[in-house]
Amino acid sequence: MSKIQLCVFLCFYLSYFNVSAQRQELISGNFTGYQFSRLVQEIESQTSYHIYYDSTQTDSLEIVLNANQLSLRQVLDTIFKNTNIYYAIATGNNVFISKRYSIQTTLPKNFFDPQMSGTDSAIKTTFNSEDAIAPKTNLKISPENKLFDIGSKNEKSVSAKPTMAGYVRDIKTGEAIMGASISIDTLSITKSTDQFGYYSLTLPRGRHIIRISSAGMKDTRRQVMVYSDGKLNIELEEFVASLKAVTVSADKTSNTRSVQMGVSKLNIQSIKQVPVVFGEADVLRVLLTLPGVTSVGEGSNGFNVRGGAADQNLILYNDATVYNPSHMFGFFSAFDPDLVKSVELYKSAIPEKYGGRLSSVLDVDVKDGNNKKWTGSAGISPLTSKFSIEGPIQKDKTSVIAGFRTTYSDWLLHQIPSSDYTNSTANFYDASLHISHIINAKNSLYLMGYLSSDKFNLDGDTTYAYANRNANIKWKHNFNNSSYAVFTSGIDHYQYSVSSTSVPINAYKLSFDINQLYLRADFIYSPNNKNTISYGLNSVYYKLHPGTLSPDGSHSLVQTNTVQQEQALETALYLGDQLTISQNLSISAGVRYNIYNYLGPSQVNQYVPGLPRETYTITDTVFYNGGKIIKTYTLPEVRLSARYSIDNSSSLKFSFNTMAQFIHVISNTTNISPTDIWKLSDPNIKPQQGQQISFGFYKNFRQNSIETSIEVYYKKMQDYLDYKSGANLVLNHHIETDVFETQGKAYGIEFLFKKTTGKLNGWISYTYSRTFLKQDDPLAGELVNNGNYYPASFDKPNMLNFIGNYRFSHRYSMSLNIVYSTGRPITLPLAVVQQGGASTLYYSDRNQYRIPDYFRTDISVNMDGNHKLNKKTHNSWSAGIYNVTGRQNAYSVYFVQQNGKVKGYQLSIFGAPIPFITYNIKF
Amino acid sequence: MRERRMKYLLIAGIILNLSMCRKIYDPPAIKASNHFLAVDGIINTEAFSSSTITLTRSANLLDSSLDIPELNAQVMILSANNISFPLFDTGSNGIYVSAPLTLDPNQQYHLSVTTSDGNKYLSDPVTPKASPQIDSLTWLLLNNPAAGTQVVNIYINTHDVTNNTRYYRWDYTETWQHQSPMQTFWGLKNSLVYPIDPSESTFNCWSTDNSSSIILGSSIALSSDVISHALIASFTKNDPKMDVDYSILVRQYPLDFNSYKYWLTIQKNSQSLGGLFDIQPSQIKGNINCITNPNNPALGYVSASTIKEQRLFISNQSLPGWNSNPPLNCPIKDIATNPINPFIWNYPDTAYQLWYFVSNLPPPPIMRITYKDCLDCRFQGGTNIQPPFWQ
Repeated sequence: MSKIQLCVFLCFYLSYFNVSAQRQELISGNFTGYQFSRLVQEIESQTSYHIYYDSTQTDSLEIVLNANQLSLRQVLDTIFKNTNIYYAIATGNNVFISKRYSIQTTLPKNFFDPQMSGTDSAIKTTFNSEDAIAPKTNLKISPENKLFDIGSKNEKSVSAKPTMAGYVRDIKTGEAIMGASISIDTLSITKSTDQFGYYSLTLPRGRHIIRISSAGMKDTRRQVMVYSDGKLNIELEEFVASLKAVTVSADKTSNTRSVQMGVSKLNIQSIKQVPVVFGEADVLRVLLTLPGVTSVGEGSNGFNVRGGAADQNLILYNDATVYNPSHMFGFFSAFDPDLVKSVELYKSAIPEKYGGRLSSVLDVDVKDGNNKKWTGSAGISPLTSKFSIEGPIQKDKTSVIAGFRTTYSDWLLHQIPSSDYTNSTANFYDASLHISHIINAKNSLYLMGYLSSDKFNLDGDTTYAYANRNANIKWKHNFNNSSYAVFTSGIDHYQYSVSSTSVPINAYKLSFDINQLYLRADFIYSPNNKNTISYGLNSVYYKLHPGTLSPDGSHSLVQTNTVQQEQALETALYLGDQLTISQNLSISAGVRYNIYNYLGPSQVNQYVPGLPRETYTITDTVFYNGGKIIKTYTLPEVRLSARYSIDNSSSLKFSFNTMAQFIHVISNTTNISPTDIWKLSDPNIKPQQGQQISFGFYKNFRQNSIETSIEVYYKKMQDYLDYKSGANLVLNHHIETDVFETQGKAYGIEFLFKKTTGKLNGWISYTYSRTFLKQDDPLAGELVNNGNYYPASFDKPNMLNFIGNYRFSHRYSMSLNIVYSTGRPITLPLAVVQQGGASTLYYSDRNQYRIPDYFRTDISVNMDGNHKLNKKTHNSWSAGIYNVTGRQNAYSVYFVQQNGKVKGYQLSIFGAPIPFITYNIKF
Repeated sequence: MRERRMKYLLIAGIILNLSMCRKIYDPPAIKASNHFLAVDGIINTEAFSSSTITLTRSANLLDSSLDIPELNAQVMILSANNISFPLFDTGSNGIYVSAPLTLDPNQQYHLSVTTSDGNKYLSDPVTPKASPQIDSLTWLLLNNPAAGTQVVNIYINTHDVTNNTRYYRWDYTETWQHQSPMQTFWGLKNSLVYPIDPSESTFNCWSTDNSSSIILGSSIALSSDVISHALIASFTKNDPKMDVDYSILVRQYPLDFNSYKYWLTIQKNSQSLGGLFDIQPSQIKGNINCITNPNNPALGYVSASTIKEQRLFISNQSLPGWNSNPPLNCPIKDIATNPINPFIWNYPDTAYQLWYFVSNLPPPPIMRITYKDCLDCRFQGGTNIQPPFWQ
C-alpha cells in the first residue's frame, strides 16, 4: 500500500477525534534548496508533528524558505503556495500532504443526514471545506473532484473485497450507456457496462480512482473511498468533437482491448454519419459496409455474415426476434434510427446467452426515453417521414420513447411516366414504443412494442406484404452488487403474404406466419473482477403456419389449401464465464445445451429407409395429437474466445464456436421477388449445425485514432438445407421431399482500416469469403454438381466498402460511400431439350454462373443547424445522390416462359442516379 | 419538469424519379451455341423387336425452332461381349431404328453414337430389365367440382409378382377419330365433281399424337410391387379428342432407380417456371458422355428393357352430355349448276366445295356448297385412312 493510501486510511480513522487538540510548535531554519523529504525530517525533529506524504508527489517541489519561528501552517502555506499540494492537520499532530485534493479530517456535516438514504444511500460526497485549509485555487466542484464514499465504514461484517456497482447514464437524457468501460489503472481492472448501463466492480477497501469512458462520451473519472459494498451511479456527458485537436486517451475502450472478437459495435452516431439512400440513417446499410457482412443482392431481405445464409442471423430488437429486418425491397432497415441506441453484430464469438442461429447475432438496442425532459425529432424526405418523441412520465423513474415512420412512395411510383410500373406500389411503416420504469434500486421494468409493415407490388399484378409484430416485458432484479437477473417474456410475430387479383377467377392470397412465445431468464454473477459468470435459461415456443392459399374475392375459384401448422419448443440452458487471467490475457468460455421438441398435432410422413425422401418413398403418414412430443433433438454448444494483448495498441484474438439452428429457410429465388419458406426441424429435417474457428489481429495507430484489423475464419456447416432439383417449395405439404441436407464449408479473411477521428474519418473494409455446399450422398437425392462442392447461392467472394466523411466545419460535412461486391451465383437455363416427348430445360451446374457484380457510389452533403446548446430546436439538412454512376444493379434475375420461349429478365429498381434531400429536426 | 412544445416543420419534398427498369438478361452463357446432343430411346430387349433411338440437338432458349434432328450419325447398340447391332437413319427426322433383334437379356448393353462432326458418345452399360405385363387400362368419368366440369381419367394398373420392377415410366400414342361437321359424297377432280369411293371419304379422320409429358410411377414405398390406378391421361369435358372415338396405346418401360431419378428431373424441368408456385431449376444428369470431349455435355438416359403395351378405346357414346361434333362456321350457299353439265365446278371462291345436289323441280338441280374445311376432316389434322387397329 502506497503512503498516500495509508495516509487516507489513517486520516479517516483518526477523524473521529477532535481536531482542537493541537498545540502551537514553531519551526526555524534556512530550508532553501531542501528536498521535501529532508524538510520533513527537519520539521519532525523540531516538533511533535508526523507528516505523511507521497514522495512522488512532492519531489518536484522547490523549497525557498528561511523560517524564523514559524508555525507549521505558515511553513506549509509558504512552500505549497501556488502549487496544487494541500495539507491537513489532524489530531495527534498527524499531517497529511496530498496533491490536488485536500484530505478531510472530519466527517462532513450531512454524514448522518437521513435524506441521503434511498437509491444511493451509501454515496456521500466530501468537499474541500475543512476550514483549516485555505484553498489555493478555486476548484470547480464537479463529480470528478469529489470523493465518493462507497459503503459504510461502520459496517460490521466488512468483506475484504467489497463490490461497487451502479449504472452509467447519459447526464442529459438519463439514458443507460451500454459498453462503457470502467477501469482502475492501479489494479488493471477493466469492466464494461451491460445493456442496462450496469456495472459491478470488486475492489480492495480503500481509495481508488476509476476511469470511465465510452464511445461518443467524454471520458471521466471518479474518486472513491471503498469501505464495503456500495453503489455509485455515474453520469457521462456527450463528447463534442473538436475538429483539430482530438485527444485520445490511451486507455480508451478500443478494439484491441475488448475480449470479444468478431464483434462489430456501432452506436447511432456512427450510423448516422454514413450516407445512405434518401438520407435515412440506416442500421442495416451500415452493417453491410462492415467486413464480413454482405447481402445477396440489392433489395434482398436481410444480410449474410461470414458466408452464412440470411436466415442464420438472429436479429434481436430489444430482445424481440425480428424475422424480416428490411423495408421496401430491402432499401431501408425496419428499425427507426431515431430509436436505436446501438447495434452489435456478433460474427464469431457469440455469447452463450444467444443461440438458435448459425451465423451471427445482431443485437439492436432501443434507446431508453429521456427521463429528464421531453424531446423529440422529426424528419422528412421525399420518400419517408418520421417522428419520434421521448420524455419522462415520472421524472427519473418512468420514461417513454415512441417513434413512427412511414412512406408515401406510392405517390412517387405513380409519377414514373410510361413505364411498366405505373401500377406499382410500395409502402411501409414502422412504429416502436419503449417504456422504462425504475421501481426501486433493485428492480426495473422495461416494456417494448414494435410493429412494422410492408406492402409492395412490382408489376401491377402480384402484391407482396409482410409484417413484424413484437412485444416484450423485461424485469431486471439486482440481488446484490455482484449479481442480478433479467427476466424477459414476449411474443414475436412475422407474417408474409402474396396475393394476386388481376384475374378475378384466379385471385388468390397465399399467406404464412411465424409466432414465437418466449421466456428468458438471464443471470449475471460477478464474484470478483476476474470472473463474470452468466447463466440462464431461454425457452421459445414456435408456431408456424407454413402456407395457406385462399381465394381472394367472391369470384375466385381458387380452393383453399393449407399446409399443416407446425409447433416446437426450443429450450436452452447456458453457463459461461468471462475470465481475466492477467491484464494481457482474458478468456471467455461457455456452454449452451439445447433441447428441441417438435410437437403435435402433426402428420408426419415416414419414408423408406436408405432411399431419398420423395413422394414415392412415403410408406406411412402418422398422426400425432396436440402437445405430443414427436421428436427431440438435444445439442450441446461450446463457445470459447480469448484475447491476448501484445502491447497497448495491438492484440490477438481467437474464438471457437459451435452453433445449432432449428428453424430453416428455403429461399424461392427463381421468382421475381424472393419468397422465403420457413420450416421447423422435424423428424425428417435435422437441425443444422455449424462450427467456426477464427483468429484476429488488431493493431491501432496514432493513439487509437486509427484502428486496423485482420480476421480469418473457417466454418463448417452440417445439414444446411438446399432445394432438390425441381423442388416445389410453395405450399408443399411434404417439403422434406424437395430439400436435402448439404454439408458446407466457408472461409474468409476480413480487413478493416478505420479512422475514427479527425476531419477525414471513415473506414475501408475488404472481405474475401467463400461458401461452398456439398451434396454427395446418392441416397439423399441427386448429387449436386457430381457431388462436388458448389458455391452456395449467397457466396460472394469479393466485397469492398468505403465509407468516408469529411467535415469542413462543425456544420458542414460531406460523405462518400462506395460498395462493390461480386454478383451472387445463379443457375442458368442454357438450352431446351426434347426428352421422352417433352420439352425440357437444360440447366447449368448449380450456381455455376454469377449475376453481374454490384457497384454503387453514393454521395451526400450534410448541413447542421447551428450548435448553440440552448437553441430550442436543432435541425439538419442532408442532400445527395444515391447511385451516382447510375449503374443498373440487379434487384432480381428471373426467367419466365412467354409465348413458349424462356426469357431471362434483370430487374433494377434504382438503376439511375437518385438525388435526395432530407430535413431533420430535433426539439 | 419542463416540457417543451413540439414544433413540427413540414417541407415539401422534391419529386424524384425512381428509375425502375427491367431489361433482358442474356449473359454469354445463354447466348453461346448450346446445341448439345440429346439421345432419347430405349434398347428394346423384347424378342424380335427393333430398338428406336431419336437423336436431336438442344436449342437455345430463344431459338425459333426447338426441333433440331441430328442426321447422319452412326448409332450402334454394343453388348458387353462386344457384339454390335447397328441402327439406321430413317430419314430426316433423326430417328434411328435397328433391325428386329432378339437381344440376350442377360447381357449388359450400351449405346454408341458417332455424330457427323466426329464426336463419339457412349452411354453407360445398363442391365436389361424385364417389364411385367400391363394388367389393365381403365378409365373413369369423374365430376370435378372445382372446375365445375367433368373429366375423363385414364389409369394404368400393373404389378410385378417378383417385386423387381418398382419403377415405371409410361408413354402413349393416342389416336382419335374426328369428323367433319358435314358429310359429302362428292369429290372434285379436273373441275368436275364426281361421286367418291367410300375410301376417299373425308368425313371420318384419325389423328395420332404422342404423349408430351413424362409419366412415372413407383411402388417402392409399398410392400409389394403393385401400381394401381396410376394416372396416364386426363381430358376435360368436350375435349375434341373425345368427339367420336378415342384410343390410347400405352407402353410400359421398367426403370431402375437411377433412370427413374433422371426421368423425374426431366418431368420437373418440363414444367413452367418463373411463377410463384413454380419449381426450382434442376440439373439433368444422364448416362451418356462424350468420350472424345468430356466437356461436351450430352443429354439422355439410355436404358434397356422389354416394353409392354396395351390399348384402350373410349367411345363418345359412353360420355353422356359431351359434345360429339365441334361447332364450325359453315356458311351454306346454293348455286346454280351448269345447264350443260351439272358436274362442272367453276365456282370462283376456292374455299368452297360441293356438299350435295339439291334436286330442283323442275331441273336443273342446284349445288349446295359450303367451306371445304366443313366437309374435309383432314383440315383438323390427321388422315382419312382408318388405322388397322381401329375397332
